[in-house]
Amino acid sequence: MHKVVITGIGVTVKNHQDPHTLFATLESGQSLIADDHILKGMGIEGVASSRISDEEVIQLQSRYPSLDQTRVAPSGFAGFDALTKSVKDADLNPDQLRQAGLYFGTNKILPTVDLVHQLAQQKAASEKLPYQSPESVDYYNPQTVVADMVEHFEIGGPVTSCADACAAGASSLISGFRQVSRGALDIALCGAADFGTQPVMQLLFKNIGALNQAQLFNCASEVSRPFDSNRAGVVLADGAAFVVLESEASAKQRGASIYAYVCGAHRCTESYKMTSTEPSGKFYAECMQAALEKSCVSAEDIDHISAHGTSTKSNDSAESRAIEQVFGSHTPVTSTKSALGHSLAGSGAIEVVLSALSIKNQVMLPTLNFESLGDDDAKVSVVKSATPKAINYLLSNSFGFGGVNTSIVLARDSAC
Amino acid sequence: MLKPVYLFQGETLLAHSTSLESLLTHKGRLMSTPFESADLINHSIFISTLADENLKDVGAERMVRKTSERQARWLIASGVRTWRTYFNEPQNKSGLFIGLGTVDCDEEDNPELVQEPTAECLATAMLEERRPLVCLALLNSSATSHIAQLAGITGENMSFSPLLSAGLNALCEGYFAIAEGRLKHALCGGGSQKITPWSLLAYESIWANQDNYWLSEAASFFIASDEPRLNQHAAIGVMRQAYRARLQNNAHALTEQVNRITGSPLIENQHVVKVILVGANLEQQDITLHALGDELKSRAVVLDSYVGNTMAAATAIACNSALSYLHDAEQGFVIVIAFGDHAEFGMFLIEANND
Repeated sequence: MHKVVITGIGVTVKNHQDPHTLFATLESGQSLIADDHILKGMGIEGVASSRISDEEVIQLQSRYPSLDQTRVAPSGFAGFDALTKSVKDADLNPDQLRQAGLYFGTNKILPTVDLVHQLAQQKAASEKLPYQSPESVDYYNPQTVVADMVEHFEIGGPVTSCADACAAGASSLISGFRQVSRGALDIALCGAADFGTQPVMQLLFKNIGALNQAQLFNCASEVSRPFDSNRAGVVLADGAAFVVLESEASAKQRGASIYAYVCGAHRCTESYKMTSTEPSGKFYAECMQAALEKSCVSAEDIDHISAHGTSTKSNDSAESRAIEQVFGSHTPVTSTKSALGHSLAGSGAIEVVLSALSIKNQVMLPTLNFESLGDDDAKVSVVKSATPKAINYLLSNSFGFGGVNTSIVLARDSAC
Repeated sequence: MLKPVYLFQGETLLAHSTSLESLLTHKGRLMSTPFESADLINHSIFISTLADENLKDVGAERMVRKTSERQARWLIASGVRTWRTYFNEPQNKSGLFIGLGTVDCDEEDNPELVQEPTAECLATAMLEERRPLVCLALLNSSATSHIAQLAGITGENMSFSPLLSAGLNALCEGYFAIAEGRLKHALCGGGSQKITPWSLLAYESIWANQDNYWLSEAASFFIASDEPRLNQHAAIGVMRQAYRARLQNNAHALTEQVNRITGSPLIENQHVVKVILVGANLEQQDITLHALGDELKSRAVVLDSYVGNTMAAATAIACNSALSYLHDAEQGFVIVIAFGDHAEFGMFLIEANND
C-alpha cells in the first residue's frame, strides 16, 4: 500500500476563505456563530447559525465568472472556491490534474424562500402544478458544480459525488484515500460543500426538534456547546473544504510540502436507527477502533481527537461513551463545531483541514462554551482553550443521519 | 493483491413487472408511453414507470414507510429482497453500496400549504402543517439506513447520486471493498430517479439534446462476495477486473480504453459470451462498437435499447444481465462497458464460474 499525504488544503466558511486564518480565529477562541436574521425575518426568534452572507456569496460569484450563477447554487461556489484554493496550495500543474480523481460530498439544495413564494403564486394563479417556474432547475441539482470542477481543472481521473448526509465530506475523503493508497491514483481531490443555513433546511431541522434553542443562552456565540451539560441542539452552518491527497512518493518527487499523513480510515453502517445512534456509543466505538486497526496504531498512540460533537444530547453523549470505551478519559477531545456550527456534508472535510493544521501547528483547538459534562456523558477530557501539544496522531470523527459513521487517522510523519 | 469477487444475481425491478430475463431472452422491449410534461422542454420523451412498493413484504415498520418516498421504496424493497435471497441472518463484514437519484421535493413541497406568499406564512406552513418526518424522506442516506437495518448490514456503506455515474461508482466501490478484503459481502445496486416534471427539468441539460429520449424507472441489486458460492444459485460470475476512468478527447480515449480490455491477456483465447453497453449516448455507442471489431460487435447488446435509460440503476441492471447470460455458460466472459455522466467510464469483466 502507498503512503498518503495531504499536500493542499482549502476552506470557505463565514468570513474566512483561508484555512490558516480560520485556524488562527478558532485558536483565539472566536466564534463564527450569530443570530440567524433570515429566520428572524420569518418570525422565528432564537435560532443561531453560521451563515455565509449574501455579500460573501456575491464576492464568490464575482471571483468565478465562468460559473453560471443561474445554474450553480451558493454551496457550489463555496465548494469550487475551496477546491481552487487547495489545488493552488498544493501547486498542482495541469498534467497532474489530468491524472487526478475528484471526490465530492454534498447534500440537497432546497428551494429558496423566494422560489417557494413564486411557486405559491403560480399555483394560485393557474391551478397547475408549478413546474414551469424555475428558470434553471440545474440550480437545485447539487452535483451541477461537479461538471464545472471537472471541466475547469480538466480532471481526468474518476469523479464521484457521494451523498452520505453529515458524513459526506469524510466519506469522500475516505474514497479518495483508498484510491491513492491502492496506487490507482497519485492525486485525489477530496472535499465537500453544504449550506446548512438554507431556511427550508433549518425549518426541517426545527420540525424534528434538532435545531438549537438560542433563547436559552445570553448570546448566539454561546449556543453551540458540544459535550457541555447545557447543550441544546445543533447550530447549522454553511461551509466547504477540500484537501489534496497525494501519494507520499509523488509529493516527495515534486518537493511538495506536506501538512499531514493519512494513515487509515474506517466507514461503517449502524443498522440501528435513522435519526440517532445506539446510546451506549458502541457503533461509534467500533468505527474508531477499526480506523485505528487499519492505521496500525493503538488507542494510546492517539494524541488528540477531533470529535463529531454536534452539541446535541444524543450524539455527544454516545460519542463521549465511545471515546471513553476506546481511549479512556485522558485523550484530549475537541469539537470545532462549537465555533463553526455544523455545515452538514461540509463539516467532515472542514474538520480534516483543521485537524491537519492542528498537526502542522502542534496546537489543539478549543471547544468553546464547554463547562462541564452532562450526567449522561462519559468522562472525557474536553479541550477548553487552544493548547500547544505534541500531536503525532489525531483521530477525526464524522457521523451522519442514517447511521453512516466514519473515522480517519492522521499523523505527523511517515511512521504510519 | 486483489481477491476474486464473486457476484450473485439479484432482483431487478422494471416497469409493468417485466422480468429482466424475459427481456433478454426474447429480445423484447419495455413498454413505454409519451411523457406529456416533456413539452416543457419542447422534446419528445418516452417513459416507463414503476409501481410503488408498500414494503410490507420486507417487514418494514411504519416508521420506515413514513420516512421513505417512492424512489426510496423501490430501492428498499429490491435491495432487502436480494439480500434475503442469500442471507437469513446478519453477516460479518457486510456492506452496502448504492447509486440513487436525488429525492426531489415535488410531491411534498406543495406550495398550496402557503396561504399567502410571505416568509412568515411559509414558516408557519413548514412548522405546523408539514409532516415532521418529511426532511428524513428527502435525505438520500435514509434509504441506505432503512436497507441496512432491514438486512442487518453493519459494515461499510456509501450512497452516490444522482445519475448514471452513481450506479457505476457504487459498483466500483463495492467491488474494491471485497477485492481488497475490507468486506466479505456487499449488497450493490442502484435505483433510478423517479420521473417527474421536476426531475425532467433538473436533468434537462443531460437529455434535452437527444430526440425521442426514453427514461425508465428501475431498481436493481446484486451481491458481491469473496465466497465462491452460496447455497443453490448457479449464476455466479467472478469479476476479474474493474476499471473506472474519465474519458477525454472522447473518440481516441474511448477507443484506447476499449482496446485495453479487449486486448487484455485475461480474455485472450477465452469465449466472450456478450458485450453489454449501458448508458452510452449515440456517439459513444458508435465509437465503442467500432472499437470492438466485427466479432465482438456481433455479440454486443446495447442494454438501453431494451430497458431505456435507467439512470443510477443502469450498471446494476447490466451486471445482473451479465449473470443471466452466464447462467448456462461453462466458461467465458461477459464484458460490461458502462458510461456515466461527466464522461465517466467503467469496464467490468465477469467470468463464468459454474463448476
